[in-house]
Amino acid sequence: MKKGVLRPGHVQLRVLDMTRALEHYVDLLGLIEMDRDDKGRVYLKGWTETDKFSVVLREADEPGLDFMAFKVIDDATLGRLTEDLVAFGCAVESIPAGELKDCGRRIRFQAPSGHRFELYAEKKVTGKWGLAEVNPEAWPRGLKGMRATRMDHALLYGDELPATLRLFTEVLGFSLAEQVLDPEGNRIAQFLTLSMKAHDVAFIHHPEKGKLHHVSFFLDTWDDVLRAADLISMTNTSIDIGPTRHGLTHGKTIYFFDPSGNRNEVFCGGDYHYPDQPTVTWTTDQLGKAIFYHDRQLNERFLTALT
Amino acid sequence: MGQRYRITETASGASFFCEEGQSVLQAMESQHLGCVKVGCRGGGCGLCRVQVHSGRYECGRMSIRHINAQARELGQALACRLLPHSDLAIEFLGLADSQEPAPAPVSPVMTQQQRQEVSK
Ligand code: FES
Ligand SMILES: [Fe+2]
Repeated sequence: MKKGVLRPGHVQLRVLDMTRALEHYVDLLGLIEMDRDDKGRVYLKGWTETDKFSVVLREADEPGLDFMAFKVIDDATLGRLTEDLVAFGCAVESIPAGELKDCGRRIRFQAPSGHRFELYAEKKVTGKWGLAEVNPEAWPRGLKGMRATRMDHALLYGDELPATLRLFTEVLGFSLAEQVLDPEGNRIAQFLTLSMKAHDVAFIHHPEKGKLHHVSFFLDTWDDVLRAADLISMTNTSIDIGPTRHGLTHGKTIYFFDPSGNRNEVFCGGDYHYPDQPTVTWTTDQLGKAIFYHDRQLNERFLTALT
Repeated sequence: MGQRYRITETASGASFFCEEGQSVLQAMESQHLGCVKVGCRGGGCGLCRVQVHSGRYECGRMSIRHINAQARELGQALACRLLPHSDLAIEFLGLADSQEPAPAPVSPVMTQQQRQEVSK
């Protein structure tokens, strides 16, 4: 938050088939459909999120991540960060208000890792779904599937991690909460946060730029993660691994794939981070345990199945 | 039960049955074989890419990054999206270097001048 960047705001995901994608993200994950636009995009969110949308689906002939956006505190901050990004050496593109429905002007830039990111200051506030603004109940009735509460973070694969870290910490004000170092001290994984969360975005070194590993959604309890696993079996959804725990962040998790091959995670719990706290470090000789705390072994699919 | 076809993976010599309407990868996994790598099972990651040497089939939607028009023409497919209509001989290829450049920009790119105006 040091530079006025608040939190993850939205991701735009490419899917091969919108109908099947909605069965997955709405009926199985339990995201709420909030709107559609004349480009055929569908706008979704988790029920606890107060802004109008956090996941935008776009049908395309290649799945993957179009961009991830962070909300900033106000328009003046957006102007200042534009200049800072240009000074850092990023090409910054301006996208007018309304290009995404009910979202203010956005600026878009590419990180050295090859991923596109956006910043924006304004989005329509619709409140938590299904709850009154005043005297809200504990949760709304009528939630579907896993009842995902919010879009939480994304893990991205790409190269140029040192320059990407500089961009996120020095320009955007993220803290390095957790990392993985190899014996030479090279950072092969960096988990970055704007808040008390263990990560708002994370990067793992990979020779190809701009790849998506997963988009993650938050659940409240380990019971909810187990129930999500049951639903994955009931619906014959493509599973990756879990339920298990991560060493990194110590989150309790399950990974699975959407019908276009984009990986999703639902998770609960995990470490917290304040900006004054030291970075938590794992070493590559313990990488299996860092990723899958119980199996203590990496599987090839986790490292290579990307979109 | 519907039609069943015999799928043979030529590099390993493994063979297994696949039912009409079932994907080759799904059939292989259900028979506990590993002659084709399993990734996302959704046509997105390209890990299960195969060459079809013989037989009739159709394909569900596949990422153009892994199977472009030319590859499709040459009989390549993603096994998780490969639906046989006859016995098939396939050969495992796996993940290739990208066939397509990164996707087109997701919104109109502005001119330098527009860009400067907006950032003011
Ligand atoms: S397993 Fe990912 S494309 Fe087939
Ligand atoms: Fe995650």
